[in-house]
Formats: sequence, C-alpha cells, structure tokens
Amino acid sequence: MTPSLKIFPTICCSSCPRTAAYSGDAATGDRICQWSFNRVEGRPAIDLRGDLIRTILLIAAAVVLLGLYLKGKYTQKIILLGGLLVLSSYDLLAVGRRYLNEDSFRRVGGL
Amino acid sequence: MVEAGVPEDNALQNGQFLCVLGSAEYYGRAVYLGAVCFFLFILGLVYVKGWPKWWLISVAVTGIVLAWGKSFPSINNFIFDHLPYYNKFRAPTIALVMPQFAFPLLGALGLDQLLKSEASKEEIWKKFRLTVMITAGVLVLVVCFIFGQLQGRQR
Repeated sequence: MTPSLKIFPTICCSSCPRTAAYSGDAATGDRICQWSFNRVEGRPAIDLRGDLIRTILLIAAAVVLLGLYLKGKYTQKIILLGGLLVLSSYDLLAVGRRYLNEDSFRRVGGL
Repeated sequence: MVEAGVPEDNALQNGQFLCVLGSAEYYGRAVYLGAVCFFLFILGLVYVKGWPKWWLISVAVTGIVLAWGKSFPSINNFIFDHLPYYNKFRAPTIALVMPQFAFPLLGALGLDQLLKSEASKEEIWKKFRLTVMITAGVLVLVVCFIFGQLQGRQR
C-alpha cells in the first residue's frame, strides 16, 4: 500500500470503518464515536475575548518593562530578566493548566 | 466509555486505540508559545543581525509548513512519500516543535544583543519602537480575526 496522509483518520465519525473493525461490531463502534463526540463537545469552550485581553495585557507589561529599562528608569538587568521570566511563566503555566491540572490525576475506582 | 454503553472488556482496548489514532480535535488544541515569547521573537527579528536570525526563521517556517500536513498537500505529500522515515511520525503537527525551539531562541538572542548593544540610545530606542509597532500590527490582525470568528459564530 502506498503510504499517504490518509493514515490519520478522523475517529469522530459513526461510519469510521477502522473504529468498527477494531471494536468488533458496528454498534460498539457507534457508541465509541458518540463517546468521543461527547468528550469533545463537553470540553470548556475557549474564551477568545478573555484570552485576547490577557495577551494584550501581557505584551503591554513586557513592553513597559523593557521600555523603562531602555529609558534608564532602572539599570539592574536582573529586574528586567526576572520580570520577563515571571510574565512568560505566568503566561505559559496559565494556558498549560487548562490541559494538565489536578483533575488529570484523579484516582479512579479507588486505585 | 463504559457509561456510554461500550462493553467493559473492550473499553480499555478501544481507549488505547483512540490514544493512538485520535483526531486533532480529540487530543488537544494548538501549540501555545506564549504572548511574551512572541513579543521577544519580534524583538529578535529586529535586533539580531546575520546568519543566526535567518536560520532560525528558516527552521520556524519549515516547521509551520510541515505542520500544515494535508492542508498543504503539494509539498507535504511529496515529503511524506519520499523523505525516509518521515511517515513514521504520529502526526504532521509534531513538526511544530521546530518553531517552538526557534521562537524562544531568537527572542533570547534578541534580548542578549539588546542588553549588550553599544549603539547610541536613539538607535536602540528607534529599533524598540519598530518592534512595538510590528507587535501592535500583528495584534490588530489577531483582533480582526477573532472578532470575525465571534461574529461568524453569532450568525
């Protein structure tokens, strides 16, 4: 078989033959597809407006931090680098926690 | 999955199957580099001179083009079919690790050159203003895109 990009199928399709083939029968395949749909739809929606405001504020803070250093309002490089480190860490960790947080490590069934 | 009516004995098996072949919508969303990192990347584009800037830009662009996958078939199908071992990767979006490496590195180089710069204050300030203007321009484009998306959803 010639390799092609089609080897990455979309699971969320009730007619997906690979899901049905793997799960043994079409009915189970359909239930798995429905389960996948529910998982995707049940995920909290991204707050585009909130994220945009957050992005603008973070960039503005970085610009002010760098601008004040260039203006000579403070001369310690450690303040500039520390400030940028704190801002970027807050930025990345806040987004990362949406995907990996304490809920990701819940014990299931008393295990 | 069991609650959805899938027999318990093959729920685990199917779970493993979904982990391997799940669609992009299933396993996550876009790679996030960070707003501050993006600002520093533009700072790097303005401040860094010479070959380090160009190879890092090349790496970032190559990674983004590869990550488009079947959305840009003219190049990606050719690479997929002819580049040895390229078809062994889990998904084309894995190539986004290249811009994830290039963006912060160029940002760090830009910041380093800014802090060690011996140019006049006016020159440095001029470049800083250019950086802020480019960032603001990109932000305006993003704002237009997001409001377009929101209006599309409301319709």
